[in-house]
Amino acid sequence: MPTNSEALTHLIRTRNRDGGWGHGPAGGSWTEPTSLALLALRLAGQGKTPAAEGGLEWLSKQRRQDGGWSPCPAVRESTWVTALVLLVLHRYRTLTRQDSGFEWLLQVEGAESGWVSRVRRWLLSGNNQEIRFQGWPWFPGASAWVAPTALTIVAMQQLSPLVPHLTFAPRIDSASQFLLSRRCADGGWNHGSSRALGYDGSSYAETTGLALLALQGKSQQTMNRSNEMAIALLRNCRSVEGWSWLQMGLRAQGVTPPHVVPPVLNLRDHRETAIYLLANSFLQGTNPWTAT
Amino acid sequence: MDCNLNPGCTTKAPASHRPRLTRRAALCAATISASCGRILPKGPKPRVQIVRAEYDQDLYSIVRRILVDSKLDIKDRRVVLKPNLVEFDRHTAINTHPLVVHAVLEAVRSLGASHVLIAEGPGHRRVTWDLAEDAGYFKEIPRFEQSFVDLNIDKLREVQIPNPHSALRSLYLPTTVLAADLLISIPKLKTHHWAGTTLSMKNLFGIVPGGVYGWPKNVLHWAGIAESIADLHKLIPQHFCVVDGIVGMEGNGPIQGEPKAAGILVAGADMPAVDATCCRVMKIDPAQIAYLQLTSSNGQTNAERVIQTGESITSVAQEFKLLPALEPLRLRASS
Repeated sequence: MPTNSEALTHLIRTRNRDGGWGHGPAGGSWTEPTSLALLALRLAGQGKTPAAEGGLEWLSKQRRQDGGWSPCPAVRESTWVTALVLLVLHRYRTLTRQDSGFEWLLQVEGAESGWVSRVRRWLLSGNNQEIRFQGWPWFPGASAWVAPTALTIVAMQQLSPLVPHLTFAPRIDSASQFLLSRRCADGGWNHGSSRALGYDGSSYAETTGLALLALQGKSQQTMNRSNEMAIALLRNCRSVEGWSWLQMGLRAQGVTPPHVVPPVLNLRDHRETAIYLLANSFLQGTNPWTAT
Repeated sequence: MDCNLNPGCTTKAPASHRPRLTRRAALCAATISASCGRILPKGPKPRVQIVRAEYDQDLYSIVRRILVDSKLDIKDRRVVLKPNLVEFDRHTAINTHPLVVHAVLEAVRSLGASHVLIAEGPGHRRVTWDLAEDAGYFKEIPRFEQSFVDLNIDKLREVQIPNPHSALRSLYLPTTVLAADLLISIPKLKTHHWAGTTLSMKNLFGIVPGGVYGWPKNVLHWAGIAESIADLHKLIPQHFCVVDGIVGMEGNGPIQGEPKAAGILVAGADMPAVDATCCRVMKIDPAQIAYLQLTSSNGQTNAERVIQTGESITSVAQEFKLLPALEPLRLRASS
């Protein structure tokens, strides 16, 4: 198992020539691994190094005209990764109150919570209550799902003080309700389909951790069974990513998880390496998502 | 919260939620039926092989024979093998068995392919390598790491869809797949709670990059599941299928169903014909599977239009349990 220092060195060494990070050593740069790598670098005190500056420059070049970011340069649509980039720019103090990315975040919602979908659902089932909450989709025009919604909540919570003139609070509240409405019967979260055709879905480690992170501050009564499920998932976790999100989610909930050795970090995927480093920062007492 | 995966769903899994024909699919199917209902279309009949197999047999020899019998032109070709990796659960029948994938890999290599990759982009979980490890791919497939591509995060190219069935006009697709001369779909023989069945064609959802469209690839649901399958089929014209039906899945597939031992591999170059044959093996009516009707341009989902080799359907058919909402898909004696 590589040490944190080795993982960080690997991350720095394997960045692309254009300044960004791909998912793996051979791939072109993508927005998500670049953003997560930048967060990890800053937490490790490497925020003013050429690696970090190169990453920031790559991100700034990828900004789209509508104010958002796409997952990678080949894609012509802005997506949920915009929230993550804004958080990174905020952490690196390169974000202004007038940034057009904020408006982009506010205008996007899951297609199912739009009025056409809600009327359709009401006509079909007589009930559209369950889709009234606004989460964020992975891709514009699709439904909202747990992971992009959770990460956007985390970003918005941090960005909110910077833009008091924008009404983030109702969206954060609605999105939190969205997450709670998608909680599985076992207490955790999967991708966002808690029940289908009368059958309960099973929760996943990674999305349960993410949702717990986003729902930080909810009452213990609301979160108890989710925390219990997260601990159960942690004990049987078979991915570094799942282990890392569970560590962060439980700690954000004020729960100290039992000691569970993580699966081996293969340094195969830069995104996974960065998430692991963020989790380790939390283990050492610094919440990587709130640390200014 | 109930059935919140599918944009068109309501809380009680109504008839509208079944994988039966949508209006668009129905119109297309009606056109096909009008042209081929009584007079079967001309043109070459697709060939589908059903071969008995078990995991503890010499699968390499069985698969190699299938490929040779199919006269598949593999020499000097770049081939991509596309298994179905879905979920952590090595004890059930969710994922394509690694021994089948390994057998296809070695058979394709032995027939002279210039380059063979295994590639998959799971639809719900981002942790592809961990899924592969848990499913036994690292253990059963030598040097798996060097042969595998995670299609969810591969390099991309936008591809226009000519005359799309779905609401999509283009898709970003992985260059690994687009650059291949042949894609071999290696799905599990499974029931599916939205599409009715998940076989070689539904397996194509796995080539759509989650890194762009997310987990799940919900854009495809909004564009129409059946129609999106038909569009993907159109975009990947050079394909072959080997369906892992040694142990399939019945009931609440593709994840929560029960293993069902069928003891067969089903193979062929015509995806709709192979999938229709699999449906009959599972005692499901292919005429009720919307994506098969959309892609059956040559009437190849009609049993009379298929050259069936190896085992007969009758000799291997077993009733795969269906969710109550999907019972209308059951193959009737008169179908």
